[in-house]
Amino acid sequence: MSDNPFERYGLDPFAGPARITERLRELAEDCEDEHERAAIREAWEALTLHPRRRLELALQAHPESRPALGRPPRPRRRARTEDPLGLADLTALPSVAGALGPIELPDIPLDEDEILTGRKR
Amino acid sequence: MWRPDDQQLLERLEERTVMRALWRRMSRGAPPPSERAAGLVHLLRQTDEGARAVEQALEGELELLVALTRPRRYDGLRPTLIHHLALWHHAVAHTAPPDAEAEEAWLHALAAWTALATEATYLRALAEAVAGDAVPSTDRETVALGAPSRLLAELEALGLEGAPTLSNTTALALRVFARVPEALARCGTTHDASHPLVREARRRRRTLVDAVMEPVHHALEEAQSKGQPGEPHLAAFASAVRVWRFTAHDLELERFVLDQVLPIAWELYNHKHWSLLRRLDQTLAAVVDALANRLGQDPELVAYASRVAQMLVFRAELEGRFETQLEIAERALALCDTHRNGRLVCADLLSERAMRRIETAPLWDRKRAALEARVDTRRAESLFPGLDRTKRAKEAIAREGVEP
Repeated sequence: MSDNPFERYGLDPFAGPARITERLRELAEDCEDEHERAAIREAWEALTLHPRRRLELALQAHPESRPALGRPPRPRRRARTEDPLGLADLTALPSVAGALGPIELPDIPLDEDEILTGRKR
Repeated sequence: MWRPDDQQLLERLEERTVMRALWRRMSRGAPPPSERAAGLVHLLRQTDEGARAVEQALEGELELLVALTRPRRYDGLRPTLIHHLALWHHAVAHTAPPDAEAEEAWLHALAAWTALATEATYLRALAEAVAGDAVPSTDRETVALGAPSRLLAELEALGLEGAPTLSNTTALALRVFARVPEALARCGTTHDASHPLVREARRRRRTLVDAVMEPVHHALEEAQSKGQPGEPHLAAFASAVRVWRFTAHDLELERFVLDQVLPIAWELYNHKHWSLLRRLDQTLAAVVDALANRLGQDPELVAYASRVAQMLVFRAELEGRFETQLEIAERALALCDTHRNGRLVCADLLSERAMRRIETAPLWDRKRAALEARVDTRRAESLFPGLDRTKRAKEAIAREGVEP
């Protein structure tokens, strides 16, 4: 791994101190290792508190000379037919009524239903 | 559907793959540099030859791409490409084993950094973007223009680390310092002895040579403290010759050896210690010959002509074969035609040859031999008049009826 903080932490040498601070803070927050966090702090100091050092390190870092990447393709909507068929697809789905078993429902009009009307018969 | 953005992503991934393969090939196994170094491959790929090189690299054949990273000239390249090449070769130089390829890497790094230092517009834009007004313009220039010098300082530090053990890295540093003018020629910069980097390289090389010579200096001092020249002196000079070979025939060491050896050789000569003097001559023969060869090419070395001539005169006197003796004496005179001892020894040997010509000639051919001998005696007299042997040779010529 490069010792140059611009390369090590993927910082753009052309970004100013504010952007460098923001990026390094993000990295420090995500970091769980104490030594690594200290290294990030050291890099931050070198890059933001000492402009001459920042310039030296920028000169020692490979410039970004590749074109910026474009947009990734939009994810395609998954069609139902794309789901792989399994054995389960060939079996008949079980009936909810069947699962409940044989029950007898009372044959009464709706206005007499005690649940709906809140009245006890 | 294959979009331009997809093509761009594919090319970026290819360039990263190729960069890593190129790095493995050139650094021979060190961990790869930052992904942004793939920008080097991207820039090289922009020419037809570069595109072909990348295609070949993707099929595992890297040599064309390696060749493209080592341009014959850096002036005229895009500043960003020069910047990539400077960092690339600098990193290769640090990580590759200290052999011929590492030597090339140091020289290319130096050439690229020197070329980049002339790209004022690029460097100004970089400094503006990175530091704005926070860095004074003089400091900016120091940072940008000082890169080649910092590289030489790094190399000296590496060389000094290995100096006590005559390490390969030290030998590499000495070779690179000696080839700095070549590196400067690659970036269209004047590369004569007056260029500051050439002078700096010479000074740093001197520091390294002094460091590797330190044990020899101690050994010589110790030998001197024992009085009479003897085995310790021979051992110290043998070490000096080893260091001289290690430094790829350093001129200053040749001068140093000549300065040191002459008083010792005279002392051995005056005390007729022929065996020790012969061994001393044999030990230092390569150094003396190297300096003798330089004398004809470098007028600034004229001060050493008489010293080298004297060492050759010692050798001529110690030589067992007559013809070789004369050859060596003639060589000494060719280097320094006013050298008194050289003229004396050469005149003596010519007179001896004159006598031998007559003595060894058949009776019927002695006149012709005397005529040839007269050429020798006349030259002997012109070199050193009044020698006894010349007188005897002239008498022998006269006896054959030839005017001496």
